[in-house]
Amino acid sequence: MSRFLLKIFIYFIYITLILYLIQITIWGNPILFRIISYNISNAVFSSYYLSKKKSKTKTLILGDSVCRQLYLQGEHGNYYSLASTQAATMVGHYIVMKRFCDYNNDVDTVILVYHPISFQNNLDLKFTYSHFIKPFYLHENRKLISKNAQRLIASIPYTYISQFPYIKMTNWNPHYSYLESLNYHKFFISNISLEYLSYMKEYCKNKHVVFFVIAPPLRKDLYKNIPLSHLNNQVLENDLESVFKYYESSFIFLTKEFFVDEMHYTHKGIQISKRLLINHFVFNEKQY
Amino acid sequence: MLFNSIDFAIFLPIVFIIYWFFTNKNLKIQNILLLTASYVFYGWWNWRFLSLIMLSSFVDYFVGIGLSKTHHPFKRKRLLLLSIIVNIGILGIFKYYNFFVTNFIFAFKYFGITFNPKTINIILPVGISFYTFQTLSYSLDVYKNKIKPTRDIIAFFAFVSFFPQLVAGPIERASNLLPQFFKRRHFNYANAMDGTRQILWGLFKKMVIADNCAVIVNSTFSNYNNLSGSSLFLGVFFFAFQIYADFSGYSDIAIGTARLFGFNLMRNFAFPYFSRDIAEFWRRWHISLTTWFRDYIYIPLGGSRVNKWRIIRNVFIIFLISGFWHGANWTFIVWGIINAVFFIPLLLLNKNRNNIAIVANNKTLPNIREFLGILLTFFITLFAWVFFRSITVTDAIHYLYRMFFHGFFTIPQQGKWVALRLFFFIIILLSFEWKNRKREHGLEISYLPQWKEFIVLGFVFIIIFYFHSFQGSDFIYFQF
Repeated sequence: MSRFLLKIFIYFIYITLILYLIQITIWGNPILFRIISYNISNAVFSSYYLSKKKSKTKTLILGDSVCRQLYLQGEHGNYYSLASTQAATMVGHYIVMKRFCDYNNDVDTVILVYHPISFQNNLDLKFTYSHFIKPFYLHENRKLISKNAQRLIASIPYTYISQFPYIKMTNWNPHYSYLESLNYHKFFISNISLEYLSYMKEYCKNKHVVFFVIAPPLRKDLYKNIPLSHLNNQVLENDLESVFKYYESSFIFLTKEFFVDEMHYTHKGIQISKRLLINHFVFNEKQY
Repeated sequence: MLFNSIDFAIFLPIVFIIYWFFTNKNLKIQNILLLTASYVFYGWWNWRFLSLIMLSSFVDYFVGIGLSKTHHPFKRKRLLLLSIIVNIGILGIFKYYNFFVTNFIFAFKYFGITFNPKTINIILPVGISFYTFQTLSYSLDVYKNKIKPTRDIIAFFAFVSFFPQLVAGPIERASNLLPQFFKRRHFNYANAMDGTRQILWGLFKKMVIADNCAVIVNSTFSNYNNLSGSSLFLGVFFFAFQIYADFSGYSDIAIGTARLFGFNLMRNFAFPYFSRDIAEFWRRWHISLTTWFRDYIYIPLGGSRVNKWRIIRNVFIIFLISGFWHGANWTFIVWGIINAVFFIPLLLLNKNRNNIAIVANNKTLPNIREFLGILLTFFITLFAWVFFRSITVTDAIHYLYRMFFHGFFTIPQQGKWVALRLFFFIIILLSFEWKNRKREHGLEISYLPQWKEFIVLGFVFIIIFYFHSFQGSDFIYFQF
């Protein structure tokens, strides 16, 4: 028995050391991290990492995973994309936008390409721990987290160990109650999204940057008949008309064969959506 | 409690330490500990359903004693019938009631008769098909005088609820497992070390292969109408590995855990995807269930020592029941029939025992004939898996139609990096299992020098650590 326990103990120490060495190596090297790590929130981590990159582009694109299908992260000709996931929340998008614009003074337009369903995220979804807490809940970002956001974060357990490398690098997240799913039958904006859209608007205004939101092409059979009135009222009440002025007109509906699920595209769907969106909103954004 | 949970990672060492350090001097206390631990393990999920395990245990315990007291054939039959009614009755109510009711309604409606009996809204108790079959096998063996009934109620209850294999097998026979509760267990270093390796291998299969495959499989099967044939092929290909890794991974963890406590459970999987024909596949897949059906249904029906028509009937019965055992859905029944259709020609041509020896025996690689046999068998199973995974038979037929006739030779639509990573994991799985195909499990590497063993174990652990998925953590076979 003692031989068995000793071997298990040695094995434990050996594995801990190897993991620690790997952590140090990968953590210090974001490119290695992207290649090796199988983290479900890779897209958010890389968006955070890329937000400190120098770029001469004038247009910054932010968005959810639908947007990321259309605008791959990084610099692409005349735009730079930091699109990640809706689970990064509007707080996360605000943080990466601020980091990028603080570092790149050439930016004159910020476009948020956001599926109307994605606005619902109120830091209370299944992947909040992996997609928001782990990448963004850092000391350097605490000043950007409002009291309301902080109150919501307080209901998530184990946030204090979220930056521990073993936790951060794996897909582990604690069990806690969260919303199982977004509401696919209604368009509305969560309180946190409203609050942070206002911050984004203010920030852009101060920097003399144009900021607006557009929608990616939507599934016709699911979203064509959902009224926008509630969302529009929220926009009016929160003085976000300038941000949403192109939102409704940007709605393009595609039939369901271009989608793999409720919102993400097939390869063909990506090609068509890219053509429709990029042509109208990115290369010709000045028309607005 | 799930094997791949933090709860179990805490539970197992605690029970292990109490078992070997505090209760090792007294067999009775050790059995009480195992029984308590097993009930905690099961009750962690839903303590109310413990009553079903207790009921099943009570009935078969007293049926066993009753059978030992009487030699009167009629009374013995009545006692056996009681055990069958209770065990199959529990299964029938919790697993099959709604299926029969809805199908009766449908059938009567077809003849113009309308009636509305109530369906019940109840969750399926985890592992119900496993422990009811295990207790039933005890009564059947006592009835056939294959084993003597026990009067040790603690040992019997611990045998029924033994936590490593309680919820998803292997379905143990009383003749193998029960006597181990009466013998003093001694800690065996080599057995415990290999048990630990087997647990690690099971975790790799479950957390890396099965759970990562689940992500692609779920999105493919829930959206098959919009995907190309090649994507659907990839979906069912990954499902074949998901179901194998999920279920055999559970069995590996169960067997490995039992070995830590000095128990030897029967083997449940013997590298089935290296089978050269479907008969060999069924000798290597879910062995404990296949042999259960063979011993308690197929052989009593006459097995293959009857005329050809009765052989065909017997095989069909076995595969039908096997399909139905997996779930109250026509998809499982069709899955069973398809396997019977593949199996019967081999049986009729007397070729079902052509491939008894291990594939590529004493060779590194299989020859062309063996390789083609493996490939063909794998594709045959893929075809059947479509029915196993689909929600309805219509879905399965549509899935297959789209797979073959809507862009089978196009580039799959699933994310290429995710798919490539999965292929990489599957190659690791197959490499280890091929290398150790003569042994009990893929990570049985006690023959390696210690430094090499450390490297291999470290590699597997790191793969689990970095590449596990938390997105599909329930074991598929819990629902059966």
